[in-house]
Amino acid sequence: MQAKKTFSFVLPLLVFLFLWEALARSGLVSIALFPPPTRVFSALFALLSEGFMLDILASIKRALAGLVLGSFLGVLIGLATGRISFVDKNLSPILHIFRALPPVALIPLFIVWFGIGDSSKVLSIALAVLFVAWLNTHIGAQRVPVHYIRAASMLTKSGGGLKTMKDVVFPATLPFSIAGIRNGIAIAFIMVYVSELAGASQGIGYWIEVSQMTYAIDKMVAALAVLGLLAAATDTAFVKLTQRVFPWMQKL
Amino acid sequence: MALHNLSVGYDGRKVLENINLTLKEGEFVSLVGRSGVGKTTLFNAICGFVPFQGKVIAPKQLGYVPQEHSLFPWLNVSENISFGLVNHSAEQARRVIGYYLNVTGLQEHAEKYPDELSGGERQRVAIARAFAPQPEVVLLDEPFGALDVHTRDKMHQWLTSFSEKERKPILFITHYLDEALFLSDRVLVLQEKSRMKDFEVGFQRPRKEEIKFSPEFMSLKKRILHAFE
Repeated sequence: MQAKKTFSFVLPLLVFLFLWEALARSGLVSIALFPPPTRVFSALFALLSEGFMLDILASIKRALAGLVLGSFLGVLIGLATGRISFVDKNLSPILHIFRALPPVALIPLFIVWFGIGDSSKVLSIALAVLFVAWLNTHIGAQRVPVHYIRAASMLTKSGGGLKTMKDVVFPATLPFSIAGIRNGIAIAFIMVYVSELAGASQGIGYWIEVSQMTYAIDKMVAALAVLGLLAAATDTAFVKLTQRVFPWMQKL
Repeated sequence: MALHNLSVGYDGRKVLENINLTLKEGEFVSLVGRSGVGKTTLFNAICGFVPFQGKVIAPKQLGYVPQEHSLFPWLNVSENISFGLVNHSAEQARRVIGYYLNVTGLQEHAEKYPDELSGGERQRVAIARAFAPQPEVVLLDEPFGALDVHTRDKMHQWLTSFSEKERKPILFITHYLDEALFLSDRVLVLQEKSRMKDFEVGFQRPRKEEIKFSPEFMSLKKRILHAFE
């Protein structure tokens, strides 16, 4: 069963790599501008021998820190705006205005405010993730079926507000929040790349930029592939983690 | 529990008008009536879910079981039962959960999630969850409405012996007269314009399935059916 699963995952990937290799070597496109996977692999090994692993780790650290911070705040604020009408009325309009701003455009401002170091990068990633996590959680929290809320309020007549929020609204909203965070994962890796283009001396984005300037297209593609794989791996790990922590959710 | 001149209106239309009702200690009362006469609205007013005029004298701790799907899908059977046990120590809660797993016959399913249970099992958990915090009155809103006939009959048997053990006043909404007669000490028919007819059900307890076929049962059922008109 496991072997079959692995095979069904690996086979399309092998076909894709084969077609890519064939196209790159067919003469229809320039091999320098469109390097085949074999060249990209050797470029990746070359990069790794130049210490690329440290850059990968730096990018992972920034993306994950921003992702965790943004998701946590987004879910927390979403629960509040989704369920507490006073908070919704006062906070949601402001959040909608800020949500419309492209987070990428805030990076220069964040550099001015928080410096060139990791904090401006992590905070700009967190801000971008916050809005998707917030909006999804907000919508989910508003749609918690009324019979759950009523059942909880009857069972915990006195002072059950916080318990209802923690034990009913939060789990009932989770599928929405998780969808938001999965969007946030993709956004976090876009943001880590963009934030490393400006004012970074380390990171995958930094290497993509450097490779472009030195016209090392194979290294550029290798770094891009690593970025894409990292985002996909983070998403898969996140899904597996949620399935393990919240086993009931698969059956909803 | 008592209701005095209870009225509920939506959008300028009166759904319930001047309802008076008293529930005595340990009494099982069923509320029947055509769809739309306001049975569930009456429950919603008692629970404080909708605004109303008049007076509701109800204990602070009310048990409430809605029609279906009220169990929390993210909690297993034990966790659902213990949801209302907010002021219990871990040891007390464990004892209460153990008791209700036993009376619902769900000891084997304590760790299961609601979607892994049958419809009848789910409703037994919902009823146990409502009783666990020891409410003074329990409201059941068509708890067996979605079950098949066979399961429903089994649930009637279970609920009569369960309610006889618990001795709590119960107000029960149903569409099925057989169910109302089999379970109750009194059947209230809610008619159009909020008129209410009251029928005593004097069958001896413990009740057996066979009484549903007795002439007394049939004749009372006929009288109640007339009150629907």
